Amino acid sequence: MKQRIRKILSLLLLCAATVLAVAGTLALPRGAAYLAAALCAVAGLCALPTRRHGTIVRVLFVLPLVTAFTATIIYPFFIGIFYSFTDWNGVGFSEFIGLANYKTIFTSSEFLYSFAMTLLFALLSVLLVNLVAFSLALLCTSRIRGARFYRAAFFVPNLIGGLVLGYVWQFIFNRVFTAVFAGTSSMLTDPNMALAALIIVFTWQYAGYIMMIYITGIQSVPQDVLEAAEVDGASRWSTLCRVTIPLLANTFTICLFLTLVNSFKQFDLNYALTNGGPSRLLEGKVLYSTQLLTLDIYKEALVNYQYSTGQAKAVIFFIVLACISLLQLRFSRKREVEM
Amino acid sequence: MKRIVSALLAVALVASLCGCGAAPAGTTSQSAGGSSAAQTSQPSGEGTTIKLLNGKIEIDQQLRDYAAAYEQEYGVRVEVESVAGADVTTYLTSYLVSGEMPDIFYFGGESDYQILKEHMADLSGESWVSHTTATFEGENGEIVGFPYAVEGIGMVYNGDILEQAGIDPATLTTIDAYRAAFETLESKKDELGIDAPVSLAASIAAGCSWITGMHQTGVYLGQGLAQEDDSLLQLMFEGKVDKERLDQYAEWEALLCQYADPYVLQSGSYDEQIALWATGKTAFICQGNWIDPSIAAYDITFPCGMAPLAFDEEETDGVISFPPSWWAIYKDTANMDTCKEFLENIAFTEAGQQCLVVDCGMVSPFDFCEIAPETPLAVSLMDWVSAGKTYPWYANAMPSGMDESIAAIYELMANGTIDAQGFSDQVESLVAGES
Repeated sequence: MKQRIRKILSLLLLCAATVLAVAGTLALPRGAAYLAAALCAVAGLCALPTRRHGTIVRVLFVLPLVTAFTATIIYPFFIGIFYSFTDWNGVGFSEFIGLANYKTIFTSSEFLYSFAMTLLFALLSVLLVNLVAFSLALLCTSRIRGARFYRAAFFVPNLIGGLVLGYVWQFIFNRVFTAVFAGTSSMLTDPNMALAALIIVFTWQYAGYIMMIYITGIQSVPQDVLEAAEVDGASRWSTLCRVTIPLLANTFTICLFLTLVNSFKQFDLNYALTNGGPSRLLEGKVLYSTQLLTLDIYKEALVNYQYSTGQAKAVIFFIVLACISLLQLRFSRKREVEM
Repeated sequence: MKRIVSALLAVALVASLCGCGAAPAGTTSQSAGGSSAAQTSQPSGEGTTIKLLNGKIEIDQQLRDYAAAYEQEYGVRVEVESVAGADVTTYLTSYLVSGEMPDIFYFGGESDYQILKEHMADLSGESWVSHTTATFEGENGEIVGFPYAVEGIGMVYNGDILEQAGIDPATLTTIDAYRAAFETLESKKDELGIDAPVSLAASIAAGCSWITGMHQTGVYLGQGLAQEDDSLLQLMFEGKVDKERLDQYAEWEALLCQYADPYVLQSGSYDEQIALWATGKTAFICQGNWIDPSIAAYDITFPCGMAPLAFDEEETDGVISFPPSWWAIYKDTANMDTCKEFLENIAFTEAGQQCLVVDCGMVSPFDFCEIAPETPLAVSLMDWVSAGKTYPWYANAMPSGMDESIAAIYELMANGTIDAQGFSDQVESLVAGES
């Protein structure tokens, strides 16, 4: 009997919750309606005559995070894929156009060029950032004077936002470099040099951060192994190549992964430093020479107002990035050694 | 006991989650309720708040001051938000989706109109419509845009330098006259203390694509044409160009590039372009009267004015003059009458004209306005407008993305990769491919 009353009560409460959530805004302010609906739902669930209250409570506790994650990541992700098949203009769409957006972008020389440039940029900057970061890490873990100071100093550029950095470096390339090397024109006016400039600034900004990860890795190399190597008469160079680096495979995985993904996603620096310029004449076509993929997506959607093609580009970008990251992780994992 | 505690905790958690959403929702509904109540009791809309999204950052403070005075007098709060003109549509689309659409908003012309047309109120019945020719007409002939200013673009000159070089700005009405003037200036560079004859910025990296890709293209589309003649713009939408005119225009732009200060041309920003001219290092600058507030910072003492952008061998004696953008009223606003009253007020009252003409340094688009502008270039523009020597402006009405693409071609000409013929051919194929 008691069970039955509880069952009815709980069902009533759940019904009330549904009604409030759907139609409550007609009578109450929106916030109050949803609050009342949520309270009814919780009370209804607690009144349910089951033995699974523990599960219910656990789900309720996870709910806030799940809601936030759904609203900010999952929902936009799927709606974005959906929009890429429509003629969405940022406000609404009138029809499905199937793969037309994808066809447009794969026949557009701008997109293909951006794609190639991004690959080139990612490749070069992954190499340079890791090389510089690892060298700096070695420097900062060696016994030179002021290693702590260097460590902090190299890390600082990472604390400056990419936009500010872009504008500051634009000034440096345009004014300082042209004054130091008198007679030269700014690096930012030549397509190839502008890409080099982008890589230099990206390295300058990002190497300090990656250096920190390498430092942690180097410090965790067991002292006894190093001592053993020294006792065996290994030179510093072979200790580094044969002992330290193999033991750092884990760290390399993390660092390569981070730099690869971040150089692919490079946007703010690109936007502030070159804004895609200077233009380049390639086989009779005029192209924005340093327009990386994210900037291209941004411009497509928010400068040219082609939201749906921009969205399609973003979907392609996601797929490529996901594939590359997974491949890279797989490849690097094989080289890791267990201690 | 444990169960009750955990249930209570869960309730508290959910309640706090809802609380986050509840607070803003509560306040908006409250203010909406308040405003509708106020509207029924007082038709003038006292106590209401209207939001104005402004797309001209340089007049932000002036509009805020006006809004403050307006609130004092009429009890209507006007919240001004200013964003860069190019970003307005982005802001508006997100406001639209989140239901926070401003009551009055800026739009820059045809391409913005196409995106937002369903959300613009019909203003055809407003009293200011008959006093101006600068309104924005929608597809069905209805008036949707309130013109708050007229701007003009020409070759802005430094009167002192031209006088010293013996050049009369009134004669600058053909490309040959300009060519001769540039040659004279170039040969007397040291004597005049200038770096170059022209200040022009074409760098994409420094964010100048609007100067070359948009504004200069407006010269091709409008110089020498009768107001309302948009045949070249229509051609562009059809994917065609007037090749002869384009060739001539390309020659003109190549001439400008040739005599422009090379550093500012290839790397300079808008500020550097202004600074170069305002400090007397060049005789000309390719800008319009909107630089008035910017050059005010340099305390310029030389006389200046606007000369025609005469790119043709045939004489074109006039500057391009246009409403740069308009204000529209959101169709579904709860405060329609209050918004209309605000527009009427800023158009008709002396305080409104004072704000737009004197404080913002713009030229009034309304025929009854008797307040004369005070800033030098606005005065010069006013002279052209009163003399009836103006040409139309379509740069803002180009297909979206066209300006950015032309800017890329322009930059190649600026750094010498292509010549005038190459520029013209590239623009032709760009226009053909875009439509």
